[in-house]
Amino acid sequence: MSNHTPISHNSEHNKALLQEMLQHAGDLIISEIHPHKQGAATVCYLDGLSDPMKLEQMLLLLQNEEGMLAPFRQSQPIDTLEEAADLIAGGYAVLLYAHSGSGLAIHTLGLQLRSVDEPTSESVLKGPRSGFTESLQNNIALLRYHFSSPHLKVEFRKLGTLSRTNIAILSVAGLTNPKLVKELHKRIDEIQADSILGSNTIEEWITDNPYTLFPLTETTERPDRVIGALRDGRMAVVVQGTPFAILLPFTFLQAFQVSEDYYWSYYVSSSIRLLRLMCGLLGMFLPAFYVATVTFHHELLPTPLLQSIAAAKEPVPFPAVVESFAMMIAFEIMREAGVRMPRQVGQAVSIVGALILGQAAVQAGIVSPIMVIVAALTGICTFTLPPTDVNYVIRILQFAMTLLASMLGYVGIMAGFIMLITYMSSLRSFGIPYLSPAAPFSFANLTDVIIRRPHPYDNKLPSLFRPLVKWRFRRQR
Amino acid sequence: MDKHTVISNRQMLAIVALATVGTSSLYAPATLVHYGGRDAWYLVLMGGAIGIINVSVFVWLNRLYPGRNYISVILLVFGRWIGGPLALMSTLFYIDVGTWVLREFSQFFVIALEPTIPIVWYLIVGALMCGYAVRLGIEVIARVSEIIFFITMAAFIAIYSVLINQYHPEYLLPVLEHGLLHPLKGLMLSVSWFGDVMFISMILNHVRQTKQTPYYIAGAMGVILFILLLAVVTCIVVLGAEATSTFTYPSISLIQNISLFRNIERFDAALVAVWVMSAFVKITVYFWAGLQALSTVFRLRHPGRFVWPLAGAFVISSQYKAWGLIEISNFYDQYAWYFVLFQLGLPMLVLLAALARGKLSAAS
Repeated sequence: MSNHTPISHNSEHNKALLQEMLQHAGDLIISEIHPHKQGAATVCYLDGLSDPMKLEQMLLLLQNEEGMLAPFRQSQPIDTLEEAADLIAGGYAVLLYAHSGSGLAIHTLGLQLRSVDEPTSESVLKGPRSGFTESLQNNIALLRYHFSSPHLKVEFRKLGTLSRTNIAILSVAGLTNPKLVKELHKRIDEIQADSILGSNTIEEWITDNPYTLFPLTETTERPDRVIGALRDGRMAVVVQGTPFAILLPFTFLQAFQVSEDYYWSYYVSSSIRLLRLMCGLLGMFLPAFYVATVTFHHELLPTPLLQSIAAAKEPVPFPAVVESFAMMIAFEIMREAGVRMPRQVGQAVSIVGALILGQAAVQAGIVSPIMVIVAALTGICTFTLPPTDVNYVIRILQFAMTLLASMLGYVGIMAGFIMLITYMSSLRSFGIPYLSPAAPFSFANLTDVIIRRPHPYDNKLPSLFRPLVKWRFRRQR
Repeated sequence: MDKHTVISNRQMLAIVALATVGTSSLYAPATLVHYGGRDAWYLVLMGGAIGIINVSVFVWLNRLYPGRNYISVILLVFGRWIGGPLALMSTLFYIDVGTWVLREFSQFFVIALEPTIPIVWYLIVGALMCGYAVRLGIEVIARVSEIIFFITMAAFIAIYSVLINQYHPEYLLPVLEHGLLHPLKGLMLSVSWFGDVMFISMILNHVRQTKQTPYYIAGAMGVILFILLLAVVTCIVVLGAEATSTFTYPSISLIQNISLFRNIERFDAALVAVWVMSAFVKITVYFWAGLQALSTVFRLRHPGRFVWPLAGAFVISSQYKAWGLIEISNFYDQYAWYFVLFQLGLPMLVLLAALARGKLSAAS
């Protein structure tokens, strides 16, 4: 069979070919109808995928006095049976007119999907509570609801030779740098995957470096976060079947910003941002700092504290680094178990974790109490960070830093820190240096990372993403 | 490698300041006070003035031959037969300085932090770190320097500020007791510390040159002068001139005097981290400059392939360079002329030859 099988004048022939193309699907419905003042038409759709009410409405329209099928939502003419099969699989109802050898595809997708609800991974105390769902149309509609501008550019694509997944590329006309948009289109066109399982599949294809530990794009369930990114000159990719939209370009310091920062007063938001940055550093370096101090640099500790630590570590047969690794691994196991376990046993696991990891381990002399405190504080610090991939990177790098600290003390930590920033300085996300605006340094952009400017003074766009305009608005005195 | 990479003026300032301040703030106070006594600050000022002349030589050469590095200028000005050996010696000088710095800092970490760790571990880690940065290129080195610059400068200023309550300004008196010339016995040494900026000769053609570039270079020299002056003066007003000249690392002795809230003391281990960062920048830029110079002299097509062999050579050379700290200190003191010869002497000769060539070409 060729790739361009025209719609035949023989409706039985069309039916047979469509059945074959759709693998004789049990949910494929094909029936003949006789619209008023038109020739016979063959209606084809997938049961369950099409909304019965839309179908009924369509059929009623066909039967009305006028006899013309008024432009129905998202209808498009089709010429070939391959097109028809593709669209039927995508939730369209297809009308084949054998007498004219033409066809019409009408969007009747009415799959029962999850309703708009608060995002589970990015909840806020103050701010919108709507989150994306698995429906691409709903997600685009949500975005348009939050950003009712004609400048919002939405371009659709189908990806995956097998899955034929719909995606939407979003940018703002007149704001987003066309070179970035062009580059994104180029990378998306180069995707050769057979199936798009989720947004991560696309992320790994379009990223500048698929082998790096550091995420070069970010994902979000929140429409307001997408709008915030678009207004800064960034782009978004929304994928059918997943509630996570991809935002790009992405720099490391953006991982410490959350959309809720814009819903509290700037004093509160700025303080919390600074706290978050501090927690990020503590999360990565606190266990290493403890191991280095206790192993090599005792003189830094005040004498009473040193005595207390020495007394606590006395019964523990393991060196500080072993204790540290044991506690960090145990904490990660508990955290992962907490994500996967059924809610009914959650309380039991919490009790087991607290008792075994906390009290019993200390009393048995496996770990010292101070190590439990360090591990717990480190874990809590990582919880303050937004649930992005950077959070996981920090948790992984904790181990590397602790190992270096156990070998060379503070020099090892510094060596690790320097190697880390050297590596991160070499990364780019769509041409934007990953450590921007810290390096290359930009005072104006960096202040926005560390503190949140009051909205009346937030009139300049971040130059990182090279937007086409410089100002959001001009302040009037 | 790095042929078309461009860095900003600010990044250049960060690299130049960090690469000089790190070693000089650690070693210079003791030796400068040894020569200048309580007037060592005067030695710093004079050295700084000559340092500005030193850096001006490279800026002038860059103006005469834009787009060329120092080594290629030597080859152009003196030709292959005379310029070749001179260029090769300058190349080896870059590498030599890098190995000296690697050794001195490894020695420092062993003495100041943890004597039980064999020095070779520090050498290997240092070479790996710097080799990795060189492999990634000058743009990455510049970005890292930008980040490290703020941390390092803030740490230096914090160290010297926290000790204000222990200052004895009277330790500076009488000022210039023996006249203006007596302290200048140590001028060669002071010039050699400031002359560490000579790697700028290899970086200038990678800087996005604007009208502000000379100001940024002057700013870098100003930062170096300020920090070194602060280091020397603080050592004198806290420890006294006599004591400062006897300490190996007066700056570390200063830090050991810091006491916060009565109980929190001995920050030297934590603040040594600051010197790790500045040592990294210095070794890296000299490593990079050496590789660029090698690439120019031997017309290497793939200089990146020589990074790890050169790093290995760094480790071996550093390990066997000197038997200990005393030899290193003595070398810097007694052979300051060796450093000044390549930092100031030879570049001035190249500049004079270039100007003469220019005049001859104009006349003909």
